[in-house]
Order: sequence, then C-alpha cells, then structure tokens
Amino acid sequence: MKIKILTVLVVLGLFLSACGGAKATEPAVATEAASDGGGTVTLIIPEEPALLNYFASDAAIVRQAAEATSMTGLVTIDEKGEFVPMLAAELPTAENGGLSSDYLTVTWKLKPGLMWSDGKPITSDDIKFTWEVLSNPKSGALVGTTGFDQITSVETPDDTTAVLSYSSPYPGYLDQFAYGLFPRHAAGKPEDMANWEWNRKPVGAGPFILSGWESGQSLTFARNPNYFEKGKPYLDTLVFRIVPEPAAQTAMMLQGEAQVHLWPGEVKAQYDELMKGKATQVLVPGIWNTAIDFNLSAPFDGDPGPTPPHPILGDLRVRQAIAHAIDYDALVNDVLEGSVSPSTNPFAYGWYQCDLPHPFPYDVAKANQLLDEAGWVMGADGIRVAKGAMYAPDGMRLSMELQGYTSFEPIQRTEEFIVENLKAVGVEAKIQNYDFSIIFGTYEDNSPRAIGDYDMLIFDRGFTTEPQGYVAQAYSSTAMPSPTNPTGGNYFRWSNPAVDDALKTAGSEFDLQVRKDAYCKIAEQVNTDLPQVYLYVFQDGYGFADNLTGYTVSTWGSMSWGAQNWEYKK
Amino acid sequence: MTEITSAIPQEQNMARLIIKRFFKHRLAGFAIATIVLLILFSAFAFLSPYEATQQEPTNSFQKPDAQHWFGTDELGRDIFTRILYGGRVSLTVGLFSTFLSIALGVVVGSLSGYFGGWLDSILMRITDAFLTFPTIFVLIILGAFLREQPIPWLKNSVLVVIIIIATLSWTWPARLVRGLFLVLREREFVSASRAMGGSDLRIITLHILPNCIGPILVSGTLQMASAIITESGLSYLGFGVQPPTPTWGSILSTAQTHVFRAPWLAVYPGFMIFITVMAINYIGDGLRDAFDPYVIHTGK
Repeated sequence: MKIKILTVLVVLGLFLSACGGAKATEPAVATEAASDGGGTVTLIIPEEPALLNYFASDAAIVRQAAEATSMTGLVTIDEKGEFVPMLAAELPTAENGGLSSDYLTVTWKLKPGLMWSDGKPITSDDIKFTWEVLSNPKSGALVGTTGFDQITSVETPDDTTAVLSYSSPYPGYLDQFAYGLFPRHAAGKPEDMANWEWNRKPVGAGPFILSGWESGQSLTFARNPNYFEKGKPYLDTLVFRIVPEPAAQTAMMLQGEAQVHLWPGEVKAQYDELMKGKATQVLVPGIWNTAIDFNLSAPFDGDPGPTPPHPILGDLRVRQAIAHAIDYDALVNDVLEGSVSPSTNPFAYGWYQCDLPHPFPYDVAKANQLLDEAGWVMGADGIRVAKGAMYAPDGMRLSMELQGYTSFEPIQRTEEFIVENLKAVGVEAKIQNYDFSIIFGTYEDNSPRAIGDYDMLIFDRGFTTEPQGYVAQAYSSTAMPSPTNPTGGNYFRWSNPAVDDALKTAGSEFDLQVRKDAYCKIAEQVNTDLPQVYLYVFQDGYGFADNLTGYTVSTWGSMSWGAQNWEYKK
Repeated sequence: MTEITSAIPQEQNMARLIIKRFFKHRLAGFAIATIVLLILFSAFAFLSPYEATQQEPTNSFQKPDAQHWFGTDELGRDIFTRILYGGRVSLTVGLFSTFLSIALGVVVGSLSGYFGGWLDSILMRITDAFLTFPTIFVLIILGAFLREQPIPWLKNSVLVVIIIIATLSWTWPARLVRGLFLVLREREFVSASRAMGGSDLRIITLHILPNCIGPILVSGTLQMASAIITESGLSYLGFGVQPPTPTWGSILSTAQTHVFRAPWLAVYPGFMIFITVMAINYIGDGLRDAFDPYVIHTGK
C-alpha cells in the first residue's frame, strides 16, 4: 500500500517537473500590447555560430546573429544595394571632398556623441584600430580584408575624423567599413583577433548586446541603451534559438513560439498555407549563386598544382558536354519548385549583374556528340569508356566524384538530379558529400577543394556589393592554392591572362560601368573555358510572424539586419 | 511385481532442444518470419517496375496510390522501391556489423576473463580507452585518414561502414563476456576439465563459451538495432552510403524537411526500422528463453 502511494507520488512528481521544465524553456513573451514597443522576439537558426565576429569566420550563420550586435559600421548597404551612412555623418564622396581627386585619400567623419555598448565613446581611433586589425596578415580574418593592405596610414586629427591614405585607388572604399568597427579598448591585439574574448562577447555599436549564451540552445540579446539612433531599438530582447531539425523549426513557428525563421525548408506556397494567419514566408533574391566547379588538374595525386591536367575534365569538350547534359529548366522549376532563380554566370545580381545566356543549353544529343568526339565510347553498363581520349588512358571509365556539403537538402536534391542527367549521356557521377567544415575548410585541414582532391564540386557562393575581393581570389591565375599560398581560392586551377587583365581593371577603376564591363568580360571567359557551370541563385527565404512589423528584407542583409526597426505586438 | 516403467530420459540433441524451446515463444517465431520476409523483399527488389534512382521531378510528393504504393519522394522516385533497396544496405550493415562486433568482443572478453592477471588489465584498459573516445572525434579523425588515401571511393564502401560501427561497439560484448567468464571459470566443470588435461582453448570454446551464448545473443540483438540507425548518421560525415543510394535512415533524414507536406515520406522508412528493431528484440527474447536453463518452459 505504502509503495503504491509512493509510486504514484513519484510518477506525479516526474510528470509535473516535465511540464514545469518545458515552460521554463519557453521564451518570456511580452505581455504588453502597448505600441510603445518592448517585447521579446525569438529567432530560429539551424546551427550555432561559433563566434560573433563576422570577420573571423566564413560561415554564413555567423552574420545572422552578429548583425544584431557587432556589425554596425560606418555605413550599411540598404535593400536597394546602396550605401547609407550609419556611424558616419555622411558618405565620403568626390563631391563633398571626402574622397580626394586623386582617389588616394578618404576622410571619414563620425556622428557626434557616439558610444559603444559599454558606454565608452566611439572615436576615430577605433577606425584606425579596425584598419590595424584587418590589414594584419596574422589576424586570422577570413573575410572583409580586401583593400585594407592598400591603406598605408590612418591619421586621426580629432576624435571624430579619420583620414585614410591609400597607396593606389581602391573602388570598394565604402564597403570596407560596412561590416562593423572594432573598439580598441575592449578587443585585443590586432595579430590575435582569432583568439579575442571579444569574439564571444562583443562590445559593438549594434542595437543589441549579448546577455546570455547557452551553447547548443540559444543566444540572448538585450537592448543596447547606448544605440546611436534615439528611441531604437523598439524591442527589449532577441533570443536566437538553435534548432537543427527543419520540422521542429516549422512547429515552433506554427505554435507562435518563434517569430523569425531563417531559411524555412518548405517552399513559400506550402509555408504560407501551413501558417495561414500566423506567419508568412518572404522571399528576396539572394546572393547565393550555385555552380558546379570543375577541377582542371589531376586530382588525388598529392600535388595541388595545375599540372598534370585532369584525365577527364582536362578536355574542354567533356566540360561542354556536361554543361549540355543538365536540364536547367527542370532543375529550377520542377526539382526546386521555383524557389531559386536561374543563373548563367558568376555575376547574377547587383550592379555588376551580367545578362548572359546559358553558354551550353540543355541538349542531350549535342552532349553525346561531344563526348563521342572527345574519344569516349559508350560502355556496356551505360557509362562511357575512354578510347582515344585526350588525357585519359584507354579503358578508363568516365566516372567522377561529385562533392557537396551535407545538411542542406536542396543541394542534395540538386546533386541527385544532376547525377541522373549525367547518367543519361554516359557520365557516372558519384556523390560524395562532406560536412560544411570539411568542404569549406582550410588548406591545412586538407579540405578537398584546397588541395585539389576533387573532380566536381557543387556549392553556392555569395558576393557583397563589393565583389572584387572574392572574384580576384577565385579567378586570378596567381590565386591557386598551394603550400606557399594556402588561402588561394582558384580551386579549379584555371589560368587565363585575359581574366587577369580584367581583374586588374575592375580592382582599380572607380567608374562602375567600366568595372561592370570588366566583370562581364570575366563572365564570358568563364562561360568559354568552363571552369564552372552555373545553375541557379537561391532566393533567401525568411519566415516572419504576422505580428512582427517594421522589418525589411534585403538581398544584401541577413535575418537580423535592421532589427532596430522591428516592432512586435503580441 | 510392477515394472518401474519410468522411461529412461531420451538423450536429446542440445541444439534441437534449444530450437524447440525457442519456437515455444510464439512472438519470437513470428519475428523470425518477419526478418526472413524483409530479407526476401530486399533481395528481390529488382522485381519492382521502378528503379531506385529513377526520377520524375514533375511527379514529386505524390500520395500513395495504385501506381506508387508508398507514394513518391521529392524527386518523384517510387518510395516502395527505394525502401526495398534500402533494406539491403540497412539489413546488411545491421547484421554484419553486429556479427563483427560480437566476434571481436567475445575474443577480447573471453581471453581477458579467463586468464586474468596482466592480460586482463591490458585488454580492459584498451577497452576503456575505446569507451572514452568521443565517437564524433574518432569518426572525424578516421574520415580525415580515409580521405587522404589515394582510393577516393574507399570511404563509401559498405565494408568500411560495417568496420566502423563494429569498432565503436565491440566494447559492450567484451565487457559482458569478461564478466561471465570471471564467474564461470570458477565452476566445477572447468576444474574437472582441467584435471582431465583439457587445454585452455578447449575449456574456453567448448565448455565456458556455450554457457554465455544467451546474454551474448541478447546484447547482439540490441546492437543490431542501434547499428541500423548509426549507419544513417555516418553519412553526415561523408562516410557510408551516399545519395542517391537509398537506405532507410537516409530516406528518413531527407523526409524531415518535408514532414509537414508529405508525412508518408517519413512514415514508411520509420515503420520499416521499427518493425525490424521490434522483430530483433523479440528474437532476442526468444533466444534468451531458449538458452537459459533456469527458465521454466510451460509449454505455452
């Protein structure tokens, strides 16, 4: 009898504690309905950012959270792709004298009375410190450093003025300070940026300050009382919940436990129908341009260099045949159900967008003909075998590895579709996916693309409004990864002197039209030599609850961009 | 004078006795039939009119109907066919990795438990080392090693997956067997055998090991269930079966993204894993009943 009662009590206790526990992890939702602001907004992210320093990582997830706190810089890029002053009083241009006539001097003036989140004043010395960090080759910065090595000195005649001297004209001078400033008093040494404690607890000029970080669970941000726009942000708290499973994310939005959903798995039509009355998915043309990269040099031979040529892909006709074999329309419309837009070259959006047609449209007959010409005869099992091919020994099967990254289902679906397309023309592609950290790892980590151990690689890359940094690293013949140049980005081992010339032009001219023409020349070369085949651009999808207002989605932004303007009515 | 007609007990073949006792457990018999059925279905998967990778992107996410018994997936492939082919990998990996794991575990555990002393210490410390390695790190290091080999497709072979899963799980049967041996080696039949001049090998394999089969088999059935699930997790790190080759676990994980729109994508592979695991557990129950001499068999 006693034991029975005890059992009942224990079970009851467990039951109650489970319920209580569940409630405790729910975010505190604002109870006030007043339009004076306030409230807590919960945002869902699929993975945890390793740190909140945008420059110290090349994982897209870092920006999603960091933008709320540590990425407010001198300027920002609005949804039209134009620069807008933030901490700076105005944009330095040739008209107002901020940009000197020889393009070698840029003068930035800060707004008066600016403060960091810890209350210390933001001064021009912080601009100088930011330059010291991002120009230091040992800082560990992975993005955003382009052009900083062209700044020879920074003078700070007074607390709100910084005068930057460039060794040669750099057209992207506005973009350099669009992603945040570092506070000299709260960070560390420039050469040590990768190890700063600031990376995990930033002192920034953004609308929110990190107030709690439960690894694996959530990041919580509180309102920054020292934010430079008076009265903003309107919200009290932001909570980023880390939820890896797509179904769980959608369930949270359905139940109103979250208000912002990053990259929902469902397409817009399904999402809106599911969430009717509660939330909608907003699509904005994204920057993530997906392409298949070809390794033009021999893989898996212990040598990362461009020679010897790839036995299969070294022959241009084979690459053209592969390009002809892909049914681009079915891929965009059926497989991905219109959630992406077609892309034909590296410059698919922004002021540098090049309108080029698919160089080698879907044409199975042409693909077969090219492969026959290139010396690949159809084998008994439906896969071609070399017979008089340019670089491959007779008898070698036309079989290659297609690498991609895991945990993103649309990429996996794309790969599977392409495998079938290629099988139809006798090319065998074996999917080999790796975790994000391996595909996008460093040369030292033996990342396959860095050391040249791949055949075909599919992934998406995004440019900001200033593409020069990425493009130079990807297409310059001097940027091939090697032991002496481990950060090189020319993974295809492609060398084209016309491209090198165009890169020089684009990197030094200030006239946007001249730069755009140079980029389009590069695009034409890419579509002629085919180191890559472009497929589509992802649209950025964000799920927003209907009672969250004031948000702006931007191709150039992130999920928390503009969070200072958000208002939430429970 | 009445004859004592009590029959002299027939000498029964041990194996036959065990099998007879096993089938008294009705669910176990049913479970064996289920597993055999699953294996047959997978083996004869080629009889399906569809191929496992045959796509029809315009016909995606179809509900189950006469043409597609289990519906179609995100690329318009027939799910029933993919489940059949998927069973091949899942069942193969499950069975063979468990066999390998048990084989390793029994060898280590029996040597360790029988001989004791310094051999026991060394083997158990090795076992402890394997137990303390965080699985993820072991897999990452292994992955990095395999990627450096000049054979690019080595990491995809099912054999590698089987070896990896066995390597991660052999420690459980090892400890189990060691414990059993520590107890059993003190028994009289061991001393008797030794007195008669039996070699160590003979004692281990012929006398002690048969008494351990019950617990070993039960442990094995539990391990098989976890092996099937682990196989799908490995592809995350680039090991094992890559898309588009179907396995139950990979179909299940792809289905996650679409669960609100097409729940049948998740239900069917999940169900297959479920009945496989349940069947194996019931077989384990039956085996335990069959081998355990102390269980009263009431002829149910």
